[in-house]
Amino acid sequence: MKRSSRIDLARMRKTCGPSLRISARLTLVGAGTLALSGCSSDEAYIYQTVSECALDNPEALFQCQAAYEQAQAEWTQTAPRYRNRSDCEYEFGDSSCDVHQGLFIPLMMGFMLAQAGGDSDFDVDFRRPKPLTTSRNKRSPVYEKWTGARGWVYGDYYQNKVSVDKSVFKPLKGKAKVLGRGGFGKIAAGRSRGG
Amino acid sequence: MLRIPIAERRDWRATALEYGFHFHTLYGEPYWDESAYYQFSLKQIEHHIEDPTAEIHQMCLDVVDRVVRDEQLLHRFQIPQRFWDLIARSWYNRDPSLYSRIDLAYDGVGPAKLLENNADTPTSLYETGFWQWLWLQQQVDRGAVDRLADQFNSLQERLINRFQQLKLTMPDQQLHMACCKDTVEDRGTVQYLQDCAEQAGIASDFVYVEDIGLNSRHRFVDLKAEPIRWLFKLYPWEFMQREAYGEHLARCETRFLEPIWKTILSNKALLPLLWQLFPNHPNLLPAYFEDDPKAATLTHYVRKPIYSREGANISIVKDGEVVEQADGPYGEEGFIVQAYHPLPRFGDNHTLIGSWLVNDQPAGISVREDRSAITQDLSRFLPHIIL
Repeated sequence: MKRSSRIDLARMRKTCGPSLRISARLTLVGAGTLALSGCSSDEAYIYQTVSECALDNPEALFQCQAAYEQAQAEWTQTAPRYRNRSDCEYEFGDSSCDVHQGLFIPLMMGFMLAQAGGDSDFDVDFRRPKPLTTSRNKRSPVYEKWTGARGWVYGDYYQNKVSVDKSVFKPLKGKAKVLGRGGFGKIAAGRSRGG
Repeated sequence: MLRIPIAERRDWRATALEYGFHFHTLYGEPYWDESAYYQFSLKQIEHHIEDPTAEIHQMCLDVVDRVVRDEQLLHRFQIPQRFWDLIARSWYNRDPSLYSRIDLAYDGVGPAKLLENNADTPTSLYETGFWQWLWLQQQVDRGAVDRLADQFNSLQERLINRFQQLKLTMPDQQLHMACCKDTVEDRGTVQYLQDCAEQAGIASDFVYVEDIGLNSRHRFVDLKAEPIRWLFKLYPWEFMQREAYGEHLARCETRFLEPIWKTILSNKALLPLLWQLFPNHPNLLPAYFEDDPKAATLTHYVRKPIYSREGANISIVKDGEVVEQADGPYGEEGFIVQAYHPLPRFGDNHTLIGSWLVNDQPAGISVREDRSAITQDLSRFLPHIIL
């Protein structure tokens, strides 16, 4: 046979008309994506130090070091800021805060790495580390819990493997700014394009 | 190869609505025409169309391999110098392609002759891969066409398979699909590819070419400001390279379908190069750059702009006189000439075969008819069978 042996007609049917169909599709795809990021979770590993990371991931000392540094850099950008050391220490515990650009931020106490996708050389994804902290103050809601810059709790302090929403590993800050649109499509105006 | 009149399916317009085929009538003229069909023998299909299609495609790839490493030829192809590296890299990486369509003049007897290669933005995909398939299915079910009839058309099956392969190279990635605004035909083609991609398990989203944005990290973005990592664009590379965002192509980190090396194939300069590398090949017509002294050896020829679409700016010249001409906006990049080879005529119709490839595999044909010798976008699409 020189033709497609089977075509799934049900999937080709578009009974609700073109524009409706297209917008319905977009809504569906959108909802699907949301549902995906809303419901599905990723396994993630939490390490307090580079050497703990390297113990868990032999042959990846360099990657652990880089991930730690990247997490540290992100932490100084995104960590909660306090005007006074006492306010910061009230939240996170004694000797748990540091000065950064004249303000006080809690120390980064660990970093979290997502489990890697199927084709990766490693079990974890070193490229998107997530900086974490915890609190030693019993009155804090994050006492002995792992928390990130946004204040979400990811697990208890003694846990080193947690289940988190996929969206957690999206960069917190720095969604790139859209500079403009319409840089393509001008030549086509007034010309036929097909071939 | 026969043209056989047949009664239209009485309900075909309702069926078209049901399946979302909205461009069966274009500019008030019928585009889908099922008042007749073409009948081929299996030998005609396999020996005269399928095998030559695969071979022509390989010859075209040989031209690409030659051109990417030859500055003089890159100039000849009118490719802006700042894209030479990008094109060469894309070729050496063998960035995967999806599909293309080569247009053939074939009368059922002699060798099919290559007229041109639509390797970058071919349309009439839906009507080929799905709609004429459905026509045959229904006409056979209703007893109007011999039930032994087949069709050279594995396009949809192969597209879905190809998308499954491509999915492995872009795991978990969403595929954005783009075409221009205000063209129901292009939107239909892209919708069909979205359907095929989704049936292969790829999540897709749509963005109009004009709505694509650029962010501060040199990434192209959709209307939700999400980066476009993987983009199928039904929009010619030669336009993109000459537009405002062209300068960002090297840094954008978007993976494109078709890949940028197809700039070389969707270019009429391909035709003289093919004739130079494979002179007297039975499926090729003599072709030269217009300023090549050998162009004078052709007395009856077709003059084509290096960049053009849908027959625009093409003229047919016989003994120094223009006998037929199509207007259009193209031609500033220069012209090539190709020996005139008439399209076969069936009644008043000039018939053109579009032979499809998915990646490098022949995948089926479309048959188009035009009242004039130059096939333009008002041509009609007719179904075909193999018997």
